[in-house]
Amino acid sequence: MDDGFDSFVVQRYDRLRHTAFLLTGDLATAEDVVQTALAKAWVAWGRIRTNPDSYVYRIVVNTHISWWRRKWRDEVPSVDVPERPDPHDFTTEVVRRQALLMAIAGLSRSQRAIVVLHYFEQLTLTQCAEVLGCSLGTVKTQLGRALKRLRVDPEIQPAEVER
Amino acid sequence: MSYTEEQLRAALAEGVAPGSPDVQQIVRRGRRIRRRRRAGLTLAGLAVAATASLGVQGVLVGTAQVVERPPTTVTVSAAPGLPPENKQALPPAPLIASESSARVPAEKTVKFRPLSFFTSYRIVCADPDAWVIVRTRRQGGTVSRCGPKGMTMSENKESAPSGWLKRTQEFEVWVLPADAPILSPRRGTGPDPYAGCTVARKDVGWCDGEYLPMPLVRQPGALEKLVAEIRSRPGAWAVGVYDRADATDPVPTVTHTITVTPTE
Repeated sequence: MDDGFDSFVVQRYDRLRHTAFLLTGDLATAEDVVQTALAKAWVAWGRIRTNPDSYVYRIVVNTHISWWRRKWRDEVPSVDVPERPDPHDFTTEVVRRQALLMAIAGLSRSQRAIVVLHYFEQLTLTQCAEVLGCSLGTVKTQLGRALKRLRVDPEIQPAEVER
Repeated sequence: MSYTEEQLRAALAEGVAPGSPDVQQIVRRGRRIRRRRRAGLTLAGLAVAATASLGVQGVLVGTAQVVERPPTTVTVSAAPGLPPENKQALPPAPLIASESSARVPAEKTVKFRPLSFFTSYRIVCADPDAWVIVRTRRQGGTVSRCGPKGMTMSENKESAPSGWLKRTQEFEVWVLPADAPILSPRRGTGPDPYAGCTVARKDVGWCDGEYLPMPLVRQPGALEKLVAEIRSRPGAWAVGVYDRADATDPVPTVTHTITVTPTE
């Protein structure tokens, strides 16, 4: 099939893999999720080719959630952001990012999906709702809860951040 | 301590080593998915096929006896409505197993020992609008109207799972009356089967008072719940399995997809 599918895969693969990694926390699983999503996209390519991204995101998210239900039911991720690291440590920024990533991993699956789609894939909240198959209000509520849990304050600008 | 959205973006964007997609492998996987789906559709009666042996309402479908692994010839008496052999098979294959019921809703588990990779199936109903639901362990299953001439479907080497010939296989057939509250399978073919539902209950696979096809075959308890809501009534139907050891692919294809063959 040479109707844009190959170039879509080549162009989007790394980004999708990164997204899936953020969702799953495991690169091998992420690659499997993305391959599954792209294989399903190939099957449906005739009707999604004009706008495949939304479809593929949806499959990635749904595949992640369904696999989580199947395989990782007993996993209990950490939900708290670790204590603040020593501000004088030169690795502070790295540690802070790690702490944030750990906290993201501790979010619920839908909250994590919204955070990743909105802040990494830069989808609007309306697009997030479309991908997740829920209402805009639900997305806003879930995102608000997620940010609160991550201690991310949208009101704070970079210049004001305590260093 | 709080984080900013910028810090959140930066954390999310932190490098993941680039990978290289194997497009060919993705396409192969896509073909497998398509084959499985076609196999499922086959079992649900995509075939608008079939012999003219039953297309009349009110036909009486009797009982048939299941006999596993006959040599290569007909060893069971066919139920009325079920042809004694599938003439579309190559060579024509005898009936090796069958089940039937005189009422709907009703369920029958069909067990058989395949003799080849080209096992074929036929379902006939007195009411062409009756719902036929097939559940298999390997494919989940499908939902479809029985059709005026019944359904004929067949396996091939691609669709048959590993160990196909080594053990007894089975699938469930449920036949429900035409007025059972099931949404048309055409609805919900998009990513979200609940899209467009005013009231959706995902716990029972329910949309605006009707049951979605996929949950009926995949969600434990959904089909049983639906059946419990339906009043039992007369409605004859039968399912038959046809096979022979020296069967060959009746319609060889380059890609070896599931083949649905209309019967004469």
